[in-house]
Amino acid sequence: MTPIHSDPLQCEAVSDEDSHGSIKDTVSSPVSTQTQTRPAPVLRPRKSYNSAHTNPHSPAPYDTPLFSSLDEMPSALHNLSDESLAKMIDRHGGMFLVRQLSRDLAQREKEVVVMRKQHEDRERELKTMLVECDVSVIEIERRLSSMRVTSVVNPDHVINEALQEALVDVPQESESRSLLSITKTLWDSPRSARSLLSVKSSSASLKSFMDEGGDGNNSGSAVVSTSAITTSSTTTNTREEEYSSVKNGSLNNDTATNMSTSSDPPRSIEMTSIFDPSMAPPTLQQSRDLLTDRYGFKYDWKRSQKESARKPVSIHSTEDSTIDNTSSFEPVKSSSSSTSSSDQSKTTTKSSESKTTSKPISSAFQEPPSRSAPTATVSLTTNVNNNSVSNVSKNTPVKLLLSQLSHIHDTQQKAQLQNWTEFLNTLSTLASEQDENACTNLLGLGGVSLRPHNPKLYKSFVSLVLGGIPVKLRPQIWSQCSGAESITIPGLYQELLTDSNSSATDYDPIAAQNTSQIDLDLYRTMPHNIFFGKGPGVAKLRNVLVAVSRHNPDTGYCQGMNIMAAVLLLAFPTEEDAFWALVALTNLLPTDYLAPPLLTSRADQRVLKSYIVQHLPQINQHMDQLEIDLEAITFSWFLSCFADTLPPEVLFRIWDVFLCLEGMSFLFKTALALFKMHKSQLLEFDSAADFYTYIKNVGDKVLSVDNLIKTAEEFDITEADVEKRRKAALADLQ
Amino acid sequence: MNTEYDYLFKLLLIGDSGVGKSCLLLRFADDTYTDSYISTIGVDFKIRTLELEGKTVKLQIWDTAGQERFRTITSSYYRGAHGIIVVYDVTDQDTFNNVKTWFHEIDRYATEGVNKLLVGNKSDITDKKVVEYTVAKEFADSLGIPFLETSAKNATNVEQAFLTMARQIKERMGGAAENTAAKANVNLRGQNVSQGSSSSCC
Repeated sequence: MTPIHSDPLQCEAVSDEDSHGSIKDTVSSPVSTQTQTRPAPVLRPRKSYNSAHTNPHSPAPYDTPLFSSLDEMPSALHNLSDESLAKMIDRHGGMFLVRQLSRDLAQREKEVVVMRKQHEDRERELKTMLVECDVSVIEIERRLSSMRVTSVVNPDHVINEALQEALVDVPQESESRSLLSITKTLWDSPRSARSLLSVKSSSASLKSFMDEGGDGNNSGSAVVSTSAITTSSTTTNTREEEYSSVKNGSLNNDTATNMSTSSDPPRSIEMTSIFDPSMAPPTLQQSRDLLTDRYGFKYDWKRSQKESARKPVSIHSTEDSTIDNTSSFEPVKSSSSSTSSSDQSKTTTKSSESKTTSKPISSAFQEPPSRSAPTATVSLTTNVNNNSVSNVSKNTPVKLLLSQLSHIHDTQQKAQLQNWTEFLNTLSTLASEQDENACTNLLGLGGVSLRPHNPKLYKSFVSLVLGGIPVKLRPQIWSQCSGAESITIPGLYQELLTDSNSSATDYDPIAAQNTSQIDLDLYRTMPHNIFFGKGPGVAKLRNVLVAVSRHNPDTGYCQGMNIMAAVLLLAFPTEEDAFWALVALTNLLPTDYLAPPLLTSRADQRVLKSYIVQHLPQINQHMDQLEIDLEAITFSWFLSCFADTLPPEVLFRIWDVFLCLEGMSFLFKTALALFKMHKSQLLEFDSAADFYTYIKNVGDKVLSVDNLIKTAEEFDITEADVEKRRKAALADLQ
Repeated sequence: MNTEYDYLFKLLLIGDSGVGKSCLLLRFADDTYTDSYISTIGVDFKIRTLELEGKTVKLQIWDTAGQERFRTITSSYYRGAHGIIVVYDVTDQDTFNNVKTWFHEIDRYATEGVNKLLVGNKSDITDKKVVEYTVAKEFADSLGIPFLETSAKNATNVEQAFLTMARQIKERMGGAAENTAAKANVNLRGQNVSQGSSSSCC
């Protein structure tokens, strides 16, 4: 058979799975893009690989489209010179050629029908899945229709895009459908081209045919018009080979046409999706075997056993133990608060949050934790107990409690996510209606650009932040609002870290001091979290801290950063993002806040004192009476932005406001709120020791983070006023 | 039940970062040890009441951050202290070398005549020990202060270290301090019940 058969024969021969896979994917890839739910449409997509990494192997010419239109493709039959055509007719006979071409067309038609069918089936299946994930039908249709409007199919465009994409370093090597490998298979290794070509149309014969068919580039009549159906190959080739095959000029046409078959790799890849799941922070993992809460904090076994031995129902005992703590001399370990008492506060925090998700701050103000257990605790306790009655024989109470906590956490997250998604959708709709940068950018503290343009939307943004940012969206929202995103300089993080290797030559004693202090603190940071201690987060933590200490040598590394970095590593999927977030966070503090000799941060303790005098005179008087040194209590609060004091899920909420809305002044408000909410207890203490012990562990006693935020928001403290007082305090200190 | 104390002594723990100050304190105050302790930021605080020669002594112990930049903060706690414990790590020569600096800090900030104690911690890690007992002992003797090697992990000498300190302060203060200390620092009434219950449960 003559080589011209190669294409239809291809079609026939490729009836195996590979070919269908290829066809299906080719056609349906727009569908999958359409139907992808992106939770945060307004957020700018993460750096896509297209822009970030251009493969060094890809020669410059491939960056531009090969041909400006399909019609110009050199191998298309209609582009052949009359002479070549005549030659071909001579050789094969007119009758045969006509028959062959119509057979090709019929085959193509058949394939199109199959493709359309697969396309529709796929779309239906995806829709069903989305509906199962609680995406509303309306939303799906809205997205799809907007997709259809924007993606008017322009074959040239599709081909060019596919070409660009194929030349870019695709991170997933297993992407065996890279069309370049097809080319490779097609031309260079006849044996592996199993499904592509019939016995006769080996590469050799194809080449010989092309030679016969005419001169060089214009010869590819073998392609005829069916190249779109060329199949994929499961052969994995090294990239070098692929590129070398592309460089073969005479193959360009095939390459280009084949491109269209392989728009398979995703356009941009979410950073989170390409990480080894075991390296992801626990907040972003949904399942784990160990007994931990959703934030990866281990449940304290010894303690829980002791408690269950003491009391018949362990859940109750946890509740009681907190009250015990208030009067006992509990070990001062606010950050190691992963123990049961902090779990208990999480319990209440979450249950109360879940009640008030629609309204961020519950209007029913809950009294600060007093001798009587707060309602939130009670509700959860009963909840868990009911459950435990049926399951108690099978499950340990701890496991039950944790699963309940996780459930509450997940439910609450779901509700939050829904509210946020609505808000972000509104933003994106606005963005599409108006100029892109007009008013929908959240960049800057409190969405600076949002406030003047759309006060109403800003208001809902504020209440959403006060109500808490869902774990899923937190990295992006924090990045945008804290300024981390705008200060990010790509590559700098890696640069800062590689410096460490070369610094041996010019030894910097201060840098060495920083590093050795970091190494001392690595295993002393969140040791009760599965991610740290001996977990996968430790290496990341070290990198982030070393980078931060080098990024700002004047400040270097200050204890407290370790906990803040750990918190950020729990929230952000990559250490680089966490690094920039930490830089942005320290930027929210005065310049020399964490730099020796910590003068400004000391001054802030005096500022806080002045606020306590002003807003909480009773507590102030009491503290003076007991000769309490405020700095001893609150210094670590400010130096770690409460990371040292508050349990993570409370802290995350406080940081939501701190990073996204208010900045420094909110730290003062939070400190005041912590004092105010525990006023009645604090006033009862008549020894300095009791007072210190209680307030040092105050993080474990935050029963409702909503109330804490609400109380904090009641204090009218402005950044300007803080600065004024700080100036005075600094002058006083010097 | 009357558990009023006769003395209130303020102690201060200083020394390089990572030598185990917090672990010593945890061992002494709560008689526990954990491998996964957290680094101290600023200052921390614990108390323990003990019987000493028929008197009830309440020890108020301040634990400080070791990182150098915290010295300005921690130095403000020197003044009120009755006794200061300087801690180094027997497996880390540098921390011992820095002991001199720490004593210098004491001379600079603490009240004159404050009781001092040198403690070499982590004595359980024998195979990595680099600071010899005799060297440290000689140094302590030259300053005329007591010296102990401790292990917070094994609880070796921890109790003795604090008791030594308390005894010395008591001797120094004599009977006179009994009243003034109590009067000057604390309101006594009403707190004893909770205090008693806590120390028995710990």
